[in-house]
Amino acid sequence: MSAEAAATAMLREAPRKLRRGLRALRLWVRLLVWVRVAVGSVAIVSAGAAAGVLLFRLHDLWYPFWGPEAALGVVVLAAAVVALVWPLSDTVVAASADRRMGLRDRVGSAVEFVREKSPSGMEQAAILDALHHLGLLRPREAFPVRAPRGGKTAGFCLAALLLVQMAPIPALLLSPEQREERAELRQQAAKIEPLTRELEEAAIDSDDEEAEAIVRELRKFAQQLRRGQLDKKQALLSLSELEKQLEKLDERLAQPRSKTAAEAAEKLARAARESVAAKAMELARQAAQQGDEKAARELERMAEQARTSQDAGALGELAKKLDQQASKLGASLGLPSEVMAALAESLGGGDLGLSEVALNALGASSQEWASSLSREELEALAEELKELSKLLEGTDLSELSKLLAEASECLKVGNCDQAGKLLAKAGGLCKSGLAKAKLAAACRACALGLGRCRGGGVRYGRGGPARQEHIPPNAPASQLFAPRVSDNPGDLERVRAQITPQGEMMTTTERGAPVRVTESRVPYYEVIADYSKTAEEALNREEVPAAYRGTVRAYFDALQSGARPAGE
Amino acid sequence: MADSGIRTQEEAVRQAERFRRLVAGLKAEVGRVIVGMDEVVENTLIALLVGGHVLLEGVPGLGKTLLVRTLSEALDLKFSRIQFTPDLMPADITGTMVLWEKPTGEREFEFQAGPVFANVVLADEINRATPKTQSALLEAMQEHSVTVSGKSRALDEPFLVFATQNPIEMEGTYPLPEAQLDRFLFKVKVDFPSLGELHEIMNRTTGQEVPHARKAASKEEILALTEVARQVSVAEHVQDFALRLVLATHPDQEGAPESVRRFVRYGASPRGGQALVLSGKVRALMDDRFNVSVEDLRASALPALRHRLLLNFEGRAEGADPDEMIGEAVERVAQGEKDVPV
Repeated sequence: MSAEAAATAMLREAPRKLRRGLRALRLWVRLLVWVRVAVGSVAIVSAGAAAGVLLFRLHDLWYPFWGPEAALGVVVLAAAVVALVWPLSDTVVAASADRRMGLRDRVGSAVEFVREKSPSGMEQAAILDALHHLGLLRPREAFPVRAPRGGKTAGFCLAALLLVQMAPIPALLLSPEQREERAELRQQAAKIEPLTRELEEAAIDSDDEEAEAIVRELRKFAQQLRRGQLDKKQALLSLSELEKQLEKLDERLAQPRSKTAAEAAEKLARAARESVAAKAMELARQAAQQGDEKAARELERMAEQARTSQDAGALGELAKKLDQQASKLGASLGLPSEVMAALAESLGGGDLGLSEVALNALGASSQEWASSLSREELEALAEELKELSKLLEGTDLSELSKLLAEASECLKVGNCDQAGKLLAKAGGLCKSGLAKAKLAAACRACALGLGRCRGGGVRYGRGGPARQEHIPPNAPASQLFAPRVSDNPGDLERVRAQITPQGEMMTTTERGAPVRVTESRVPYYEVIADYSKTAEEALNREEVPAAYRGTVRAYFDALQSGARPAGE
Repeated sequence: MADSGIRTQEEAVRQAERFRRLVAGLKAEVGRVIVGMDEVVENTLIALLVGGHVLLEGVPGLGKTLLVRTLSEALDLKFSRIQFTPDLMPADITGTMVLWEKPTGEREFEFQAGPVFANVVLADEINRATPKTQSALLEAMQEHSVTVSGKSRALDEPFLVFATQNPIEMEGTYPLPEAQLDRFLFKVKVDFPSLGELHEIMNRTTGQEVPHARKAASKEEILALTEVARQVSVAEHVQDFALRLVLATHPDQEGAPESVRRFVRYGASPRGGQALVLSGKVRALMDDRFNVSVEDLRASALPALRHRLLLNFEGRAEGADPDEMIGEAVERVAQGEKDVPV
């Protein structure tokens, strides 16, 4: 293609190429406009929001926590819209690029010349010259990215907003009452922290995820109290939530019991005592046969002690002494009797710690049984384990019962190793059961501690000592505890809401309610639902004597409806 | 806009290349004789290529006459010099009818052409002659013709007048009225040379051989170049800059800077706009471009407009400098240009 033809072709393509090049420039400019407008708007909105949030917090007014962030998001989107609709003609963009790149109005002039129907030779040359330079032009070179002028200001305002939202209000800006309240809350934080640590240890031991989550919540709550990030009302709401969570945890840990090992305690203990006593009597007979009357009397005395023993540890010591006596007599008890005795006694008494020790000891010694015990002794041991297992069947130690039964079967066929492993596993069960019990105890202690912080007793309906004197049957509900209804309706008072971890937002409206607590530390509407439910359950389970059921029902009905109880 | 001259871009490129070559040659030849004065030489060349007249202002002995003479030598143009004095008559410029006796004894009037009948006329110290004499030259500048005894005689093209003024001996002179200053395309200030330039001047002019300019372009070529320059296109936004600049020199206009409002009685006429645009076209071609740019207009602003501002009494009393006012007007107009907000 000759140079002329090439130039003619280029001229035909010129408008399209020019438009394309300018489009790229224009897009880039719009992006920069967006950034600039957004930064400026963010600065203004952040500053305003920070001032607003500070005022709201100082005056303890409610505001949506996500409000300022939502506003910033809207502002950024609006800036995008502004950038999209900002008038940017080809001529202006081209002239700006020419100025910045020192192109001496080449592109800007070409934009006009290309619109001519029949451009002159000079104009054609100008267009081609401009296209050549436009092809070498990069939008970033013409309009480089620079930090927006208001960038530092916007950053400062954003930081101020975050600070005002997250940081506690300095004591200087608080009223004396607010300062006093904050000091009180800090004291409560100091009380909650050791409870949290206890619960944390128990949660780690039992490897309970729910408990660990509650621990994290508690720690965060204590931290917020210490830093003054919560006011009293928010603290009470959070406490309420935490107590609910602890209640759920406690309910889960405390499994419904059909039959407890405690019920089998007496049988287990008796079995252990009889076993040791029987062995002692057997040894006494052997001693008498050997003519050692002194030893025989000693053994009889030990048998008597075993029968009357109440302590698993003491029984274990007796069994050990028996073993020594047996050795003197040249006999052998042949069985890890003291361990078995201790195991039976500890299981019966619910002493999982000792049970764990005993089972681990049995598991460890099982490696020698194959060589040290005879077939009859192994079978006898198997029988003892089986007996123990039967006694624990259907109790809350039924898993342990199964393991003991399996160990018994293994011993019967002479598989001492497998029996030892099963016993060790049984020991592990006791350990986890122990940890679970520890966690439940820590949970209750924590709940109690939180309840004290709140100013009441345990939150959920675990009852408490009644304040009144004896209430006769079928008494009117007002005799239980008459609620004090205020005559003064008062002004509607808003209580600041808080979004709970479950995503719920609780708002409460108090009418005429006292700002400061007096006798009642918790508003009744916070507890009425739970207490009513507990009362209903108690009534359904017939735990309330028949003569008082009507009174209790009437009382709670009166509270629910807000009317004065019947009889007043 | 379609043009009967250059129709294709190839021809435009060819003509532009020729333009630059000839101009470069001219500059080189002038540079052999004239030391320094780059801006003066450039503005003078631009005026030559536009076909406009130039008012050179400078103290005596700076080489103004030499510059003009060298230019005419390089272009092989007819050169004449008129020394304006207070007793100079209009006829001394335009020529007169002279009674002449033929060999046959008959007498008739014959027109004796005056020095104005040249291609390049140097009017030295034009402000020393009377207004009547000045107007005779100025009529020729405007009309490119001279009327003597009722008969109009055209002047040969190109016809260029280079007038000079001495800025320090204004006493007893007849300053050109503004209406007539307006006919000059440019007013160029000739500054005193630097030390280095003075050395070079001494070396060149006090030696055995004094350099002379050789012919670099013919009269026809200059006329052709003038035609080519006129074909350079101006985009609307660039022309808009020129016209807003002209308006900014008027005190009653919105875009006028404070100094103009205070010291100027009347600003540049449309001839100022013409001067800007035409000189911008020549500058564009000299800069290897086919379009006039705002930078071209800014470069021509001072020489094109400084003599067109009519100062008021306060301006004259305060000694207001038109150059400063034009500079402010240029910046003001530049700030008003539409730009992207980034």
